[in-house]
Amino acid sequence: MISLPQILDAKILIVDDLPANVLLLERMLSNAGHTAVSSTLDPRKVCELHGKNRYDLILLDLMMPGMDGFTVLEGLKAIDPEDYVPVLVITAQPEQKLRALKAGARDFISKPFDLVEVRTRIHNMLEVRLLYRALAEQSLRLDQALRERTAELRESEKRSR
Amino acid sequence: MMEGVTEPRRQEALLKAGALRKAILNSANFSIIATDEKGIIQLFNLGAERMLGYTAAEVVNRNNPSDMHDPQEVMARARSLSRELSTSITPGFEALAYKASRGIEDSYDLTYIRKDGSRFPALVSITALRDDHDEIIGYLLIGADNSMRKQVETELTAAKAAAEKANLAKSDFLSSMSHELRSPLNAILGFAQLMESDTTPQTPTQKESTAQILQAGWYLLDLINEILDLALIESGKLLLSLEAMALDEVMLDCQAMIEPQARQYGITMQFGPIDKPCFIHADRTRVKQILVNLLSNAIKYNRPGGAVEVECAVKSAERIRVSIKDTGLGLSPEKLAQLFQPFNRLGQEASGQEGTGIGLVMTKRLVDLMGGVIGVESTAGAGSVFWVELLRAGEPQLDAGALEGAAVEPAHARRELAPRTVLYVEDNPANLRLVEQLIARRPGMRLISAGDAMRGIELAREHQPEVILMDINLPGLSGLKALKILREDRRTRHIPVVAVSANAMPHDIHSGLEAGFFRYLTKPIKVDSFMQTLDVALDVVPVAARDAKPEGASR
Repeated sequence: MISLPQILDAKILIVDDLPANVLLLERMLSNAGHTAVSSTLDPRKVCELHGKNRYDLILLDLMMPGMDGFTVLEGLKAIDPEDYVPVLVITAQPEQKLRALKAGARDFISKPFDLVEVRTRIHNMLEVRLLYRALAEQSLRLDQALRERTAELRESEKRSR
Repeated sequence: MMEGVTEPRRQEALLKAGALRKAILNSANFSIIATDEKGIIQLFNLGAERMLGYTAAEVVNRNNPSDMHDPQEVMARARSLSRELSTSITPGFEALAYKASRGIEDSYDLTYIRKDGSRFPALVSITALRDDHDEIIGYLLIGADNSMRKQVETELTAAKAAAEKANLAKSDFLSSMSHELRSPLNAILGFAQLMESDTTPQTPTQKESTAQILQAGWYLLDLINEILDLALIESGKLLLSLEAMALDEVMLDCQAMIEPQARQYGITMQFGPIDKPCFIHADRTRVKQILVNLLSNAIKYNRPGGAVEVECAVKSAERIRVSIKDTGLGLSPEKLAQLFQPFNRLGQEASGQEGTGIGLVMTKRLVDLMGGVIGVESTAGAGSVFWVELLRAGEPQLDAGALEGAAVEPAHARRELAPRTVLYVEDNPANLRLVEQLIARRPGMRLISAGDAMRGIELAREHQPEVILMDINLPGLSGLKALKILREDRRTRHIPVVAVSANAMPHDIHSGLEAGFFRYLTKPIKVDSFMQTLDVALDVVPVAARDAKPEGASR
């Protein structure tokens, strides 16, 4: 299972063009004990940052000058088409909920939000994200073990003939 | 007694003096034309001269009134009268006078053409003139210039269109304004929440200030949401899904939702018994919204330590009434009259009770949309009773014969060993119970369910059911939208999704299938087609997808 320290050490990126919103989420996360939170006001930098840092969670605003959240989502999906894109959309346009979910966001929160709710959702998303990763690692190990075992069996079959 | 004697005398005097005749002839605002039995003009009054531009001398004994109308219109009238009366009527004076000649009261809307060729719409009433032997000796045509009315009608239509357009523009404006209001509100509420939960203690004054900011902020958010909701209804964009649903179940939900508030206010809640089963034809989510709003008002505007009584009674074969009685201050007749107007809080602004003054307006609109009635009775000083009447419905059910047939499992079912999972996404418990019964009769099948689309999508990803049954009108995310999400996810893309919906119009079904539903079943559920669809859907699941894992592992 995923331990609390693992969740608190998970890498989080905040993307919002309004400094007040960024500051709010930063304070909230640091109060909750998160240790690896970074942020950007420039949506055009998100893909590059994710490519480099592989965040466990990206908190993404939708309506931003320069590049909107949907374009950011497309870019993130293109980085690694097979990978889980860990995006939580936080927006003041509740009517965009479906579009955001369809575009690949894992969850959706409307502004203004309830801090307790956002904290809980972030916690849950990180838990799922880390479980996903643990599962992928485990299945890789199993796959490896299976391959070795099959090779051994083939060897012994050959020998017994 | 006196009147009985004087009346005929007066009438006689009027007729004898010829005053009446003179006045009619000189009337300037009505054209009065009398013809002989063939339609040749015999009398052409001052009003007719003014309106039509001919002098009496020019037309008397020469013209026919039908000559002064638009010939196309006279022809059209002849055709339509011929059809209506199944006889051949010639386009000329006969077309004008036919009905009058048969003693039928008649008036027509035709265009008159003046001597100078200009036109105006006229409303003409035509009556046959008869002699003492009841023989027709002519016709009387009284005409009025209809231009004003026509013009007003045109202006009215234009004004109505303009108002509708303005209303739409208002809705668009409101929804973009919503975003602009929410962003700053997010900062206000967010930082206030941070201060409230801060680890460094605040002074009591600071605490109170924070609480005030938060209270006003959340109130403002409520206001924005309610205004948008109302705008949605007013612009006609709100779609309701009306189906049979159990009122008692919704009442239980509402009771659970409202009881914390009642406790907070120290109000006793009493829910009277409901005759079960009690089904109404309504939209589940909206019925809840209506009842919770009325219950919440009954609690908020009650007296300290007061009570709220809720009763359901069958009013007639068609209607059921839910009454919510409070022990508040009651409302005066003047206040009752203002009750359903937006932002009118009836002087409660100063009471300290939170409210936007939109709730009751919304409630009334929703009740109207569902074909119901809302009303209130109140005694000042003693309390009010708010009631809604909703349309009754029969219980959604299966006929017994169909159930017998359903119990027989198809031949190929036996070869299945692992239970096959069916996911049903449905917010109406009555429908869920029905499908539960059906699935229970099929060995080797397991039913899981979700009350809304988001939960449904989660369950689909997690449990990988063989078939998904999807209601279309779900609270929040609709079934159609959920289908799109399922289709775009590679984990759920292969699962056939069957629509189960109360929207049974052909275009609903067509657009459902177009959207990618595997089949479209309409409510009430018909057992045969339900079972058949399930069989077909289960066979469709690609064998490769189901068996890939075990086979892969065995090699």
